[in-house]
Amino acid sequence: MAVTRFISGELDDSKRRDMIFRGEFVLFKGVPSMKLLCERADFLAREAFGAGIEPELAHHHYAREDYLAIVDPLQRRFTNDDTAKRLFRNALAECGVDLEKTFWDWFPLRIQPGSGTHTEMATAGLHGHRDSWYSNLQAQNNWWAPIYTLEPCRAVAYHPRYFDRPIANNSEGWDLGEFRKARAEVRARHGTSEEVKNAYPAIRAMEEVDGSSEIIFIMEPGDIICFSLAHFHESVQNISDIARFSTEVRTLNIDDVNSARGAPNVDAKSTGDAYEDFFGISDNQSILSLATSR
Amino acid sequence: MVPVYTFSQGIDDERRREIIFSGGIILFKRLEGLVALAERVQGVATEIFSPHDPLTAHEQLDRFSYLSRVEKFQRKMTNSQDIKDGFAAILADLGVNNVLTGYSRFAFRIQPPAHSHIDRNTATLGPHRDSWYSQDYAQTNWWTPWYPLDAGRSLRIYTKYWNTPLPNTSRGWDLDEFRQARASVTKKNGSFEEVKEAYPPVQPTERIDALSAMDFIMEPGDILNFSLAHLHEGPPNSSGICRFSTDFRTMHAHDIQSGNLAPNIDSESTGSGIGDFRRLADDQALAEIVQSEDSQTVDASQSGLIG
Repeated sequence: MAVTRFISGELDDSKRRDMIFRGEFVLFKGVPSMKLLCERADFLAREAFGAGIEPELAHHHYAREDYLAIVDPLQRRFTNDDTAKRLFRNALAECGVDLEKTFWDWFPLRIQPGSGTHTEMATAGLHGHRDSWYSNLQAQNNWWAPIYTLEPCRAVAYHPRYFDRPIANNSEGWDLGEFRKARAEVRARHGTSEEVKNAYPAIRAMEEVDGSSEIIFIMEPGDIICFSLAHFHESVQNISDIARFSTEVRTLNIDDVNSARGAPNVDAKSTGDAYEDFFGISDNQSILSLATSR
Repeated sequence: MVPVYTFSQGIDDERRREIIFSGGIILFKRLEGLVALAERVQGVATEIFSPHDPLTAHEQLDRFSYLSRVEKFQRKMTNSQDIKDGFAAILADLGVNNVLTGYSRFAFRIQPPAHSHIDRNTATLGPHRDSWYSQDYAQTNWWTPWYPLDAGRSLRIYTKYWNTPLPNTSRGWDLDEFRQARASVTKKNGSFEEVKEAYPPVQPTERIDALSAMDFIMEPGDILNFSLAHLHEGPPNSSGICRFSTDFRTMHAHDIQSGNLAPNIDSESTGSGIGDFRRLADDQALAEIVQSEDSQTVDASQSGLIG
């Protein structure tokens, strides 16, 4: 049995983390700064794709290589944009996040065009996975937000029945450090994105997943959903002719890290961790120096 | 796969019903009119349960005094013109056509956590589809809490069963027979147990997959809209605090006429509840609207002219 909370306004930070660690979904509706962040992303996208072109439909205007050549710098610009960073930080504060104790990684602009021809690593959807198979950070909270209005074929699907139930997978022997090293090597020799992708195996479910608890949230710009890294989730294959634009970020609260609080790990056997990706939201300090229980 | 839509305001009503009939669940979030209505409902509850807190009055009041206040509250609210007008205005804001849409009565449910205080007015049904009870597949259900919900005090929908049949006892079950049986026991001042036994509710006959359930934790001002065919329940209250909520149903005349409906995958009961529905604009019987040829030419532009 899964629980979803629909919240207007902020929620006490420690209460939220308790909920997340129990496997609940918390959907923050109409977060003012997230609305502004969506507008900022829209502005950057329009600038990148050119006047008169709807970003969600841009893949119909450009050939694959041209499209990808626009998407790549757009994604970089968004992730490094100071305005976007400030707005995302404010949005988390409006959800009740204690910025002094919270660390985040980075937020990508995911662009998932409906047409298969424009799909590449930068624009691909994600197959079913738990983040915990990769990062081993059981205290991690995931935050996901659409930039434009969603539809069922343009969303994220969750399978809450597996939150505390194992799924057979190939995470044993998988190591985050080795994965990153393997990918970096291919990038260094200017390998293709296909080669980067294949440099190190992905972790996958090794059994048929029971999809009967599958749920998707059709959110509006300004909405953010928060959930545990342990939830099994995937991109719904976009069969529409409209591209899905979304962003996301992961957070860790230092108290959770140092007291080993978090979601249960029921099946991740990989090694390595992603602490090095996390920096203080308020002071940009690396979490590595503070994570005493790591 | 069941999509849960969240909207901050109304959407095109054709689209809303299309979503509902294909199994989607819609949460309209923090509607101003509903926030205001919730404040008025809370005011009435405060007055009736005074000097006790309505949320914990079951701890202070014995069964009899508690239930008599519950009855007073329910009677007052169900017959309140303010409530009817309030919901009619909220639905109009959401884009519901008040000339072509019928509503059923506003049920004020009070679900205390104390088993000792459960009676016909405070009981909730176990997991069920409304379609086990009435063959009205145009029906869309509306559910709103008057105080904040929490885990252990919510509305639960078993999303898996939208397209998975669940064996049940609906064969031979008839809505009119059920109502007659209950009415005759009630007339004889029968107990709650006797009323229940007079004509047992439809039950699932197979264990339900509980892992497929989703509890919706909502706030006052939020309203959930879903098809009558979704398997749902008010799970037993384990929160220590009373749950106050209202539910009602709507049907659009054109959906009944055109057969634009939710699917029936496992109900074998008979009977329709259309007699319970009156149109939002003027309380005319929905059945009459459906039968009248005129309704087919009334378009959305006329909504709002009446009422």
